[in-house]
Amino acid sequence: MLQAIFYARFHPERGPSVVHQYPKGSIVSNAKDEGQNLVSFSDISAYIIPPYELCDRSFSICSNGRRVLGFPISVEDQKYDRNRFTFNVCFVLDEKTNAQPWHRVVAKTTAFFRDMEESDGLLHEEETLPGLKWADEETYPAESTGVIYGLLRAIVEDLNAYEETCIRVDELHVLNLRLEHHNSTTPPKVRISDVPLLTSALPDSEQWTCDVTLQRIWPHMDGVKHVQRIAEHADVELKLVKRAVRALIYHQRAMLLDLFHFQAVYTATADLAWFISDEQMQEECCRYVAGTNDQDDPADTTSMTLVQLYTSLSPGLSLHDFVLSHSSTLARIDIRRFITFGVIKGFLRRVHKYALAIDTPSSKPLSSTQGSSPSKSKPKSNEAVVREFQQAWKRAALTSGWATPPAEPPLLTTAASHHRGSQQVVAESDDEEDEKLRRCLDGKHCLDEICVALRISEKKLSEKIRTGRFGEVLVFSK
Amino acid sequence: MERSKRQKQRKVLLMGRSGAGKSSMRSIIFSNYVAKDVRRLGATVDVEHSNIRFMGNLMLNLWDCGGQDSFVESYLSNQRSHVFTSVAVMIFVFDISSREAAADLLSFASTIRALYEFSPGSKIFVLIHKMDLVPADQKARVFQQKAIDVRTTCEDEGFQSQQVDFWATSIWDQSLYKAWTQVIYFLVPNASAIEDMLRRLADLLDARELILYERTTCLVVTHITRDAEQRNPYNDRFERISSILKTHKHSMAKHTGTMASEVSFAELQIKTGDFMFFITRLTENTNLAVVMPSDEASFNAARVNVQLARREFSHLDIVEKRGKDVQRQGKDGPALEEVRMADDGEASSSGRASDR
Repeated sequence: MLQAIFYARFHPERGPSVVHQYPKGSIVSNAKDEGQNLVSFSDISAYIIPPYELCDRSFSICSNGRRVLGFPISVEDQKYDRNRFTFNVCFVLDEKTNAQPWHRVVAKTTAFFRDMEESDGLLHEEETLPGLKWADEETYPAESTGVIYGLLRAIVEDLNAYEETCIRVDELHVLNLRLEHHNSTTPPKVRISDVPLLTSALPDSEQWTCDVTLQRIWPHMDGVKHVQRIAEHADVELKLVKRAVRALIYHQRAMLLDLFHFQAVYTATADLAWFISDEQMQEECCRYVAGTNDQDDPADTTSMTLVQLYTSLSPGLSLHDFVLSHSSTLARIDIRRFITFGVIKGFLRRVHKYALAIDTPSSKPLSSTQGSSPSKSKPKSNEAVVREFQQAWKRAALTSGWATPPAEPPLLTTAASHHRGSQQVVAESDDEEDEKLRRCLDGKHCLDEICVALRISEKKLSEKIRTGRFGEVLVFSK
Repeated sequence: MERSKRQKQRKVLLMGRSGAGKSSMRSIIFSNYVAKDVRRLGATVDVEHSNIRFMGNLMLNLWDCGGQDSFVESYLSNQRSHVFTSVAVMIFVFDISSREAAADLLSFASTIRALYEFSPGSKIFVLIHKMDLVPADQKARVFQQKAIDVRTTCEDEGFQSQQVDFWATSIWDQSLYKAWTQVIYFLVPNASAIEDMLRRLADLLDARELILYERTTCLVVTHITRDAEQRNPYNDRFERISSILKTHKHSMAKHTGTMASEVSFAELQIKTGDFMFFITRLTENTNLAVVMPSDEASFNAARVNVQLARREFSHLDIVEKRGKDVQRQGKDGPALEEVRMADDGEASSSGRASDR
């Protein structure tokens, strides 16, 4: 809770003084009513307006059971009396409040004030207005004079009521503040196969104040398209889409779903117990999954049915098989919504498959236990060497501007030469794909991601892996 | 002559209303600013402490106190004893162009009241500053009037008249150097001993005048004027030379591309039909200016003699060597306190062979 806010500056004759404060009497009071101040300004003034070398950084001090957060700023310019304009905008909180989320708010506010001064001289001008009352005068505040008092009041009231504010001072200056508490965890990296789903509405496009990327991808974020597709359809660079989605997750405006396809495997989590006991959620689910059904018999899908269906999902059972085995029950249910509801609420989770290549084939010739065709093992390893060599040549050639890379690599054993002939034709075109695939086989990329990246189906991917070109590949589910 | 093994620390308060010119003066004297540069200085926030080494064994703790109302209030109330204890010299600056003369005087009165409470024996230098803004014909009158007002206030607060000195100053002429020279002269611990030695040297050289300058600030430490020279009508010649030396340093800095604080010269000679003049290094922290009659032979002799005399004067100006050297001197006993020529001088001054 923000207890008070004040704006102080170094006056050439008075020294450090409070110009504006809200609420009235919180920091300095006029001669008549002493003793109600939250903090004594004279005690802390040396820290509010410090020597110039200490300005332009965050400063806080505790006094009288309260914490005062500030960010003193000193603007140097010949036009000012004594060549400098030094000021500070300080937030007063209770000492025990967690001040962590406030630091950014303070920094942003003081930067805003600095902006106002540097571009329009608003702060300096305020003091020349006739009828302006300083904070320690009896008839403070003169509400109709100047902009700062109103600004400070709006900050306190809005931040206490809504934890955010958007205050317009004049045509050019708008202050947007938000108090953010959930700063501790870094949001997860967004994969190209992830599907972003908006969890709260974004403002109308008229109210956009920034982020061109978000403006362009927003219409495509429907909870069905995955990141790569959004990037393609919106014609935005993939990196930017990932970053924007990650920011939305951080601000808790979106969540990530997995890529929906029928080879996927889902299973229930412990939260299913909660779903089973919560009747309201079951009703909501009924309504949701019956969505695309044009027939008007909603009662057909009972909560019981849903629970049965959810519990029959298990690891090892692909959606394809699941649908086939429950085809009659699922006739009246939108399967995509059925799955999505569970994932969003948290009682279903996707079981991802990961592939890890255990041995790299480019190492010295492996023992005969490796791979599906032992007869091919020796030339395979040679071929891999050849391919890599060719890759390297190609890369070098293209970067240095040669027209074509040399036709054949110098070293080859005669035993492999007849194999080489037939395979070389196919090798080049698949080279790039294989390289990419090889890099993905480190156990950190789920198959969904690999499929999307290489634009092949899971079936084809499994085939590729099974050819043994990548050595022994372990596929595991998590 | 007394040689102190430890530095003498002197606390000097520099106070006055905001914008009076305190920090500007400090920058010109001690930080090699030129008068037109001080326009760019910002207001002093609270107190700026500088420790200035002077003549090797004098350490000035200069407290440049911000003059804004809230700071002054703070010095007089919650920081009262901290600020006003153990003060050797208070330099109070009045801006003669100020429109609030009465308020200035009241502020001065409160300040010296606090000073009397904690350091009743301190010396007060009152500088009536920005005299360049006063028309030339009114300068003397304005200064006198102000001095009378201020003196009355001092007496009211308990200070004896000999504790208070008045000087008219301006950053645009040599009066600044004159005033600060007096401050330094008051603070230098062995001024009379230095004067004795210089007098003897002057007699030996048959010089018309000897002036001793502090090296970095170019302030006069002391001077010896003999016979005919005493009729010289330019009483302010010493500070004018200070000013000229200061400017010379700046132009040397500009032409050699170094900092004004780092430049130094070995010797400067001026020869005319009426006199001959040279300035050369006397000790590590001082330069000696010698004015001789216009005679080549005695001029050259003087130069040689000053060179030889350097070793003697090194006692004046003990640069604080590291611990073990000081202890080595101590072991040799107090007999070494006396001035000695040649080899003994070397041993006792711990490696000052470079003086030769």
